[in-house]
Amino acid sequence: MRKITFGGANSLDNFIARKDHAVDWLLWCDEAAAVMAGYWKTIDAILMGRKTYEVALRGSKGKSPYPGMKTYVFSKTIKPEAHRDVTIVARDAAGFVRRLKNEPGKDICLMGGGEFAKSMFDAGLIDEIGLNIHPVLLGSGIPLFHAMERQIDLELAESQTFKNGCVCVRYRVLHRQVS
Amino acid sequence: MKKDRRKHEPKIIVYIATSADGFIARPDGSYDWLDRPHPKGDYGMPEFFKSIDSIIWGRKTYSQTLEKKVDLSVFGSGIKHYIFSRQPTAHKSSDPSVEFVSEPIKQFAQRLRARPAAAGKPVKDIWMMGGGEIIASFLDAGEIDEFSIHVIPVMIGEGIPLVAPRHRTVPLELLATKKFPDGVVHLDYRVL
Repeated sequence: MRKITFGGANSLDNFIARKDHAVDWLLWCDEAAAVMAGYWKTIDAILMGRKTYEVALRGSKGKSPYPGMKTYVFSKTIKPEAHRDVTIVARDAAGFVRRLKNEPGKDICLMGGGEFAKSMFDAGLIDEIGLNIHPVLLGSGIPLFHAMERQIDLELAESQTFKNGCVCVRYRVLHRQVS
Repeated sequence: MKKDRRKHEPKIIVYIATSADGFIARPDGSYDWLDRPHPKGDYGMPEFFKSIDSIIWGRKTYSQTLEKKVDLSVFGSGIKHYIFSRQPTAHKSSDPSVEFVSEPIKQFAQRLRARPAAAGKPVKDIWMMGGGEIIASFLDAGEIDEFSIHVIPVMIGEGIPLVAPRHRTVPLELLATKKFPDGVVHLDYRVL
């Protein structure tokens, strides 16, 4: 089954951007670039919510934000005909993603803020979490994780310390056995 | 917030565990998710305990600890406990090692850092126990020197964040990381 990874670069207090979406605090380095390049080869599909898509579209000046990747945007309001580079999924996100995981293909990346990820966590569809913890406290902003009612146990798969003070950690989600 | 602190001045260190999603406790203050078998060496906690001689507590965190019938002596003998409270006279403790404080943070921190060491011994560091509100207040006052965090491999979903949200950016310098066999990751930062 295809694995879904959620994550991104976060501040120590778990924000992925300032309130105004600014990511001026992000540090880039060869080590992070190598990790990302390696990861990029393992995926062929990207999932995101509407808000993340809109931010990505602004970044790519309206063109497909991730050319070469099958991109799925989960939104009840976006009109599919105006966004032909991506697949808009308007209904039953969990059912859609569950089917997608069972289709042949590489692994899948879930991008963006925690709102859409929360529904995927709730549905038990996320298999891994990858964080690039930056050495900064932002105090406020767009959170990586949204409040969830249940606890999710993790297993540390990997942790790597970069020269610039970022710590890259990867966790496996320990899925609950459904009895 | 550049600090001009002398090299041998004692540091105020936030020594704490967080969940992987960044919480120090559940919304009701409970931390049952920390009850897990500790690996050999106990995450280096015994060494840390030896390096401090005072603990700063927020009033809520202190009360919750007492409610759990935790004896303060578990943190070592000869440790002085400072409990921050807006109404210090409302609290009493028969324990001579406990002092309730309502002093301005800056003034208190200066007093604490300047305290003399025990005869013939180096002056020790200060453990900031938390919770998130008092950590934020000390951080705002420029009186947190380091964060020493054990990240537990669990997402608790909701709870009390490490630092109460504010509108500010605090740059940190990563000092050290350590990975434990049970998946706990230790992160040490200096506040810049």
